[in-house]
Amino acid sequence: MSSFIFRRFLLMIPTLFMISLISFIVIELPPGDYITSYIANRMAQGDSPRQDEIDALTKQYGLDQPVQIRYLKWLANVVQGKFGFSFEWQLPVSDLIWDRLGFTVIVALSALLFSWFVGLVVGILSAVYQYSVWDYLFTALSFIGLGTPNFLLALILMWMAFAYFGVNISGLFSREFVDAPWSIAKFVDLLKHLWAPAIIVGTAGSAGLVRTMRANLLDELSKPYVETGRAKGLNELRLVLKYPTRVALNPFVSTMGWALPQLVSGSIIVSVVLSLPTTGPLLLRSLLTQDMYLAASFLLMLSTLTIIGTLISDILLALLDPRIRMGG
Amino acid sequence: MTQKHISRRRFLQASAFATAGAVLAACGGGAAPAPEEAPAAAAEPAAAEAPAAAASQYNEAPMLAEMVANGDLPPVDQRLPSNPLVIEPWDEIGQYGGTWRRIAVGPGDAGIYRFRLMYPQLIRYSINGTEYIPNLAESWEVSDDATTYTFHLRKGVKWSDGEPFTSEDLMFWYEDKLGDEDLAPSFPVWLTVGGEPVVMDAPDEFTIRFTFPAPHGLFLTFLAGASGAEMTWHPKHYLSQFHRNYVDEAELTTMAQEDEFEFWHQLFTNRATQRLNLDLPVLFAWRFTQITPEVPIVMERNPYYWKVDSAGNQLPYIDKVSTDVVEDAEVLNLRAVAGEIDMQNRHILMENFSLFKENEEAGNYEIFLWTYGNTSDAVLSFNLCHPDPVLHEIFNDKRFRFAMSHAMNRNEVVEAVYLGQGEPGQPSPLSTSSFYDESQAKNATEYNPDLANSLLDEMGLTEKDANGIRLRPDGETLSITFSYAPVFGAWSSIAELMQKYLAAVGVQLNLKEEARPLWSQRVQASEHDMTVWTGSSEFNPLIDPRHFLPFAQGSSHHAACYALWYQSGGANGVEPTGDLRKVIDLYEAIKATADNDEHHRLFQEILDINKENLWTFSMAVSLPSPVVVSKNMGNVPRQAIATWHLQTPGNTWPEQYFLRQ
Amino acid sequence: MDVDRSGSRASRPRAAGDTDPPGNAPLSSGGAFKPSATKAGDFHLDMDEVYDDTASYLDANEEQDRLYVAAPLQMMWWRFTKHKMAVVGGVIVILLYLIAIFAEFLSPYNPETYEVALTYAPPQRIHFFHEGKFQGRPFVYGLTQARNPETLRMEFQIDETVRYPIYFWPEGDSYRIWGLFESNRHLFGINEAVVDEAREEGAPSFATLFVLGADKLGRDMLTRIIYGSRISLSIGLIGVILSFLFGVVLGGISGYYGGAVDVIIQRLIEFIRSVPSIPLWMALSASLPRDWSSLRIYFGITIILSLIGWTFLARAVRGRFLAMREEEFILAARFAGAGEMRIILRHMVPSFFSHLIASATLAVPAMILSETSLSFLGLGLRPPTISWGVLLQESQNLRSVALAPWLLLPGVVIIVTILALNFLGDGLRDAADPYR
Repeated sequence: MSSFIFRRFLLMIPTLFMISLISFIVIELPPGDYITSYIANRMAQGDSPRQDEIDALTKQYGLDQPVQIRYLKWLANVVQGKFGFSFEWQLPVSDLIWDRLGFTVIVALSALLFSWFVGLVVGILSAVYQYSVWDYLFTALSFIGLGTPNFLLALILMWMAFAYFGVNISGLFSREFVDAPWSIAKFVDLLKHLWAPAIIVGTAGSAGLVRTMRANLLDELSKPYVETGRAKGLNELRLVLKYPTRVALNPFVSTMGWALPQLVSGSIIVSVVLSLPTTGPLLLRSLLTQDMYLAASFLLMLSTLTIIGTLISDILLALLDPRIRMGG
Repeated sequence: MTQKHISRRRFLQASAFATAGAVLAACGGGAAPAPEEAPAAAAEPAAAEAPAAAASQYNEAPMLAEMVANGDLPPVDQRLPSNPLVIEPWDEIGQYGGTWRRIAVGPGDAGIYRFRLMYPQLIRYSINGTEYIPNLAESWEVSDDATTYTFHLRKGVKWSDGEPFTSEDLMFWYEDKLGDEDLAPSFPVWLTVGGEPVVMDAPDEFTIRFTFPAPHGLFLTFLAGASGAEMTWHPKHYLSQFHRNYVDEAELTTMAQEDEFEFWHQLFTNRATQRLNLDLPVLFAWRFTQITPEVPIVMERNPYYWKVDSAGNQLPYIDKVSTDVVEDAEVLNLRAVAGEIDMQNRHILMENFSLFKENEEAGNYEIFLWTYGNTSDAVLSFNLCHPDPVLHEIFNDKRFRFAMSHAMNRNEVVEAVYLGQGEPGQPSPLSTSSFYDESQAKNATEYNPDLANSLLDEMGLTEKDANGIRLRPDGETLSITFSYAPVFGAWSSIAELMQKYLAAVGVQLNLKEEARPLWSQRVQASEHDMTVWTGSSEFNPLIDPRHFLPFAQGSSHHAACYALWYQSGGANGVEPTGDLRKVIDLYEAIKATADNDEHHRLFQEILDINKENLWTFSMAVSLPSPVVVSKNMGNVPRQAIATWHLQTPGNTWPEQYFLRQ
Repeated sequence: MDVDRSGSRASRPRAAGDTDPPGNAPLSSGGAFKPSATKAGDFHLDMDEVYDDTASYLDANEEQDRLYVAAPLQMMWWRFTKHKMAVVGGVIVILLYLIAIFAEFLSPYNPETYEVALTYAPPQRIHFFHEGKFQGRPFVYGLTQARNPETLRMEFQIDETVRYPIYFWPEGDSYRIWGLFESNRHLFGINEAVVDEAREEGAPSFATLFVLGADKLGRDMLTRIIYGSRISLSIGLIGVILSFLFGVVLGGISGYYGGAVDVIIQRLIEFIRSVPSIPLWMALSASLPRDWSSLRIYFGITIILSLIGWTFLARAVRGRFLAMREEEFILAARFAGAGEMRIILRHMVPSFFSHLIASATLAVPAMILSETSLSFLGLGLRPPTISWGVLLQESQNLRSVALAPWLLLPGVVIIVTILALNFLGDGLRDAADPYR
């Protein structure tokens, strides 16, 4: 087992390296650089920077150096735990990303939990009552979740909550708690806000889980041991929950790995609409203003998170199913 | 030289007048534009009997009084300058206390506070931009040849840490900030004449002098606007510890690298940015107490603020300004509607007016309609520098431009895009401005497709293809690409309507929405056919006449190549001829004199040439700018001009806003 | 030669069936093949010879063969029809694509026809009775409008004094269907002649048929949704076909060869999946050449979406390949000396083609949603191009949700489409998988 984990860790290194490279390329791909968007901004305020000023700025920000030099410099810094300098914020990138990464993880995990919960309950129900009204209804509902564009759902939910219940579900904290130190009350306040993004992001993922759960459970339910149990007069609910569900759960763990990047992607858009203090809005903005080190660092960190997520799910899976360990 | 010494009592009166929107009587510098109309009651001179002399008559906020009682703060009369700026509140003497709630879109909005909310310039504009008002400088003189400007600073003004503000601080900015090539890679254009920078010196502690190598007739115009803010942000006693002229550079670099910066100048810039450094002393009404990007953005009253109201109460009235940060404008709209904003103009858009208005009662606020301070939010222009010779010739034919203008159904656009507000018009000085010329604003605004067609026919563009699109002289279809960046909501609607109007006169318009940096690169390189941008502070068109002449490469989208020539002093770009050259010469002539009447006469000539040529055009002018004002918020004027160079809401004196307790 | 025969026989039934896998076109008409060389691993094929051989073979056993071939497909069809929601989904999908194809004819207006006085006009009800009397023909009442001076909102009143009957096949805005045939007939609408008449009589109200309301410039939402389906539905289809090609080729190679190739491709897939897709989209779509026309941008975006989407199909294909690699008929084909590429395309792909179709159907919704997300971010298609994503982006604001909720209808259409596609895909998959 430990050798399996070790091997997976070793594999992470080249992947991370590749990701750092891709992150950088992704930022470099669009034409122009931070100076271009900075100039565009100044122009919007009625300013008209001249060419000599633009050249000087380009030099000052080090943007006159070739891209490979900038990449290597950045990489060298990243290895030391420094992520470079955000042009737009005039701040080291490290000052900007950690809090937001934390909240991103919180949102993504609660969305994951929500979609697991839905996937489990609805999956079991529609497998046990296959081809019944309930099966169709629940499947339809989970597809509606899948089919509704996240951003639209977020906006509508936000307006409905305000217009009909007088509740503001934007953000992760109420105004009085944004700034407050952590306390029970603040945590409760967080929970009061967290459900909305969790549901919105989670619904998209739950449809797939419902489908997987249903299919796996149906496989299991047709196996002889279930028949035997039924013949012996076991309570139907216990019969389903005791063994077949457990076995059918395996794929849940294995899908966690690739569900995470989807949840993170989904949360980017939802975070913008709901104004969550997660990476999403800042990443989006940094990509638009071509604030390259900030954007590249965000990409790198998010990808690393998802790789770690995949690793965890692989390890869990290996623990659950020895065959995978051997196959490696 | 006109000596502008003002006695204290006279000055108090004057500033009280001025703040009430009345004439600043003392302005003898010749730079003052024509007087603006005085709002009725507020102009009562009785209000000017400000009891400023006796220190004991100054009042302070309870939270400060407590600190004084505890010995944490010197008494109020020691904190205030000997002659504080006295402000006559718009409506009533306010109450101390409360938190002013605002909402920013993206934490970057914190960056505008040192301009818009604080308006810390040496001198400033009155609410409608028609007057100069003393601010940190209590008086000033202009030499007759408009080369030397001398400002007398208010004595006893203190930074928020209690240290005195003197001419030394301004010299620090000039010598150590602007003079350092790492900190200021290039010299600010507004402080140069013919490419030569200003020379600043400080004859004494409270006098600062700007000497230009040649006449600079627009110096005050710029100084009172957004450009003048930066020089008041640099307390020498604090910032010198981060500057290489005062500390060993190697030591600074080490310091910088400890904080994850690469260079010393990054550290300096960081330390000199108010929202990033709470220790940085300021001259603002409120100082930051929370570093961005932490949210909310919190600012607290500056106990050393140097303004009082006409009853001797130290300003500001409001204790705190708390700005919550949202990531999307729709959340801001929702929270505004829910009554979570006390007063805000930024990001409150006209297109959402109905939504705001219908929820006024529920949200306990009122929507004021201020005047949009730019001529229009959509100034359209064809590229006179077009690289394609055929389009170049077509765009440079003024019959084409007039045809395009007459093809536009402006009344329809006003209905569809501007909710029926505003009126059809071309780019022009605001109607409140002394430079206003109605014949410019109404030039060729009549909807007349027949006239447009006959003008195009007259140009020889008579051949048409199967779809009814005219053919260019080289046989290609006359197809024009309208490129725009999606910055303001209405542009895509205007573009879609224009597409139809142009098709009706046989011109094909392709719409191309581009990311802002891309668009910006393209228009600066004159690679576009046609584009749109906003006007710029046309309450005083001399500040930024981008749409009236080839003024700046980055913003005169009709003539970027000529603007480059102008900006680079003839080194780059294309030398303009004819009328395009004439307007540049006229603007140069304006800059060469400080005579107000001469400014008006010369600018009228520029407008007359514009009327002939119609280089730029717009759909509607006189547009409103909505403001959300809580019913608890007092002293917010119902009418004001909202624009960047007036530092709105700075021009409405936010320090005298108050919250009813 | 005996071995050769048996190998081709085993592969024949599926390949000769009604399915016509893309990428396999030149071979699809034939059943058997005769490699011109017997050495394993030789890729050379003599196409003419293959074709001739097929023809003679089919002639001999035509009747019997048809039955034999049809059976699995027929069984699949039976299984599919048992899944009622899948059938309903299938019908809806077919209808949607038909609507997209005949958009010009089916929509009552042109998507560009506007009337600024009617900005944000609400949906109009279609009536059959006027003052309690059945009118014989459905109609709408006239619409009057005025701007509320307080709120500046355009307010609409129904003018019951005028009725505009709805006709089938009326003359209306003229159009050119598929850019080819010019016409001004629409499936339904208000008769232009009646409208003109009313206008001449000075009717104070507007004669419009806004079944789903109007947008910011007073354009018919129904028409715009119908036109939008063209791009949104085809982007899903083309995108899936492209990712299908990538997925089948790379997934197939990965699963068939195994070993180092497999590891590399699997790492690549894992890698692409671990990078959050939105920044990838953003960067890629921002780097589309600026001079591209909207049509090329549309294709560019489709390619971008499929560049990311192929990984999912590739995984499915790989899994199938791994399982099938050891199947007897593949081994037989290899012994017979069939080329590797040939084995993949000729024997393996057809044998799980129906399953792939199901997976592909399930991938279409993701493409459609991705298009809307890109438009939301302002990176996808932009107006005046009409797609569901563009329409939704225009309604993505509070004032639409609060004051003109009918602008959100494209969202409902998207949900219905995705629901239908998912049920269809589920049904296809269930039907294609004989073990369930």
